[in-house]
Amino acid sequence: MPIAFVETMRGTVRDASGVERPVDFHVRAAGGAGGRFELSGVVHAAPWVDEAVATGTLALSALPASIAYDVRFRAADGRTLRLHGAKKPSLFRPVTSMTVLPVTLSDEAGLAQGEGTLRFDLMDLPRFLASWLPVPTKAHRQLAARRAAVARKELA
Amino acid sequence: MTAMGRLASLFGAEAPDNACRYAGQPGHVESYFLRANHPARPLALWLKATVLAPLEGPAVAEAWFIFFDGEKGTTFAHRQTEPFPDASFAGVGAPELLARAAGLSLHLGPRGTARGRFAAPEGTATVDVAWERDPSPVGKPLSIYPYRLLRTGPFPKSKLLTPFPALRFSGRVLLPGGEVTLDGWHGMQGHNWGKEHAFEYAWGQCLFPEDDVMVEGFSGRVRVAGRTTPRMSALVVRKGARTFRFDTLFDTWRQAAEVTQDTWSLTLRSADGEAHVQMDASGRPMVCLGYGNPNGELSYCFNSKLAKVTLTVRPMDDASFTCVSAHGGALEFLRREADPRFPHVV
Repeated sequence: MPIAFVETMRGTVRDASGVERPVDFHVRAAGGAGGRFELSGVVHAAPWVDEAVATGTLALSALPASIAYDVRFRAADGRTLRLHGAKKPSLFRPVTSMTVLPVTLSDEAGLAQGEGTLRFDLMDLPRFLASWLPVPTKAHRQLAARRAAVARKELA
Repeated sequence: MTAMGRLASLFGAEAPDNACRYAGQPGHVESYFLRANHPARPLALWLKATVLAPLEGPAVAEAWFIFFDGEKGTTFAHRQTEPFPDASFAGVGAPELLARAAGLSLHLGPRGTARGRFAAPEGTATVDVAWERDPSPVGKPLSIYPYRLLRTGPFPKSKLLTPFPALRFSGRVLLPGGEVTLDGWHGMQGHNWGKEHAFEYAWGQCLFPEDDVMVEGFSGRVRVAGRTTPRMSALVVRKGARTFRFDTLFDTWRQAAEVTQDTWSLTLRSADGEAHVQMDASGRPMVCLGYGNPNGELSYCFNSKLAKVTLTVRPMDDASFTCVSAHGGALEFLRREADPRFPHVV
């Protein structure tokens, strides 16, 4: 049975001029076969783009332990940007290793635009856990509505 | 008050929003205030009628008037005081109230009027304005407090309500420098009361009529058992028929407030999404008001009605939106210390 959950990661990315930029993404991960999930959601990453729909993948690996995110979105200047990085789960640092995501923002050519760190807020844990339930939860419905609204805004 | 009486006041029917809570008891402060902003120019009017009942001594009624002129960079501000028995705060049916205090008469309601005369040393100002509620859902009565017990219970000691968050004003104000006509000015009416003023706060409200959006919020600290609490914040945003509440008052984890002398910025998260508001009164006309507390201490209110406001909301289930007002923001800071920039305290 496919698995789905909703996750939010927030943090900052340091741009080429050294300025810390607030960045976050809110994604629904669905799938799970072979440890691979498809991501869809919304990203905020000004000044690259205030708000955009996001797609991507999440890949789980057992050895070495890794949860790799690859979130793609279209910047205001039309380029496709990737926000990618991986958590490295560790028994010695279970909370930090599962909540902290070092990321790189790069363009289509792989050129880095910035680097930073995103975090999962433990205050979001109840909502995150509830989103794993095999029924459509509020988190899934809200994110779907949000993504659709952002897509409409992009078209307009 | 008996124990049953206390319980009834906590859980019984709430008094109408504009009903006067002062029942003759010492240790009470209560005010009704109005503000109106020119729809395009940096001009604003602020009026307030106050009851101050000290712990010791007779109660007084006060009337306050400020006109902010951002084009000339000036203000005209004055306060008048009279013994409370000479004033009147009488309900004329929910949610209306007739308030008469020290030369200012307010008929508060969805269609209301304010008339008054303020004789200051630098000249006399008269005000004669009327208003009606904005028909949009944005204009529905508003309480920032998330729980009714925060309005009816002992904590916090200062309460606030906004019976009319969005009003449209017309009328005229006569100032020593000339007459100002109000035609389609935007504003609001608030009501607050309690045993004392909050220890410290930044409070702001702004209307964005073109976007059918309203925001009101605060960041404040209160005293509990002689100690000052951490800063608590709340924000309510209305956009058309939708209300976004960021009022998890005690969840400081998801609040980030920054208060400087003339600016207030706040980021909040809640089940409704995320909001960020920035209000900036730097370099704009501001008035320092002396607010008496029932225990005799003085609080200083730094009051601007011409703040620049930027609001961004990211709803959980919708696309984000940003509203900007160049000079339509009501922004007040209440502090316990005077500010040497303001040698004149009204």
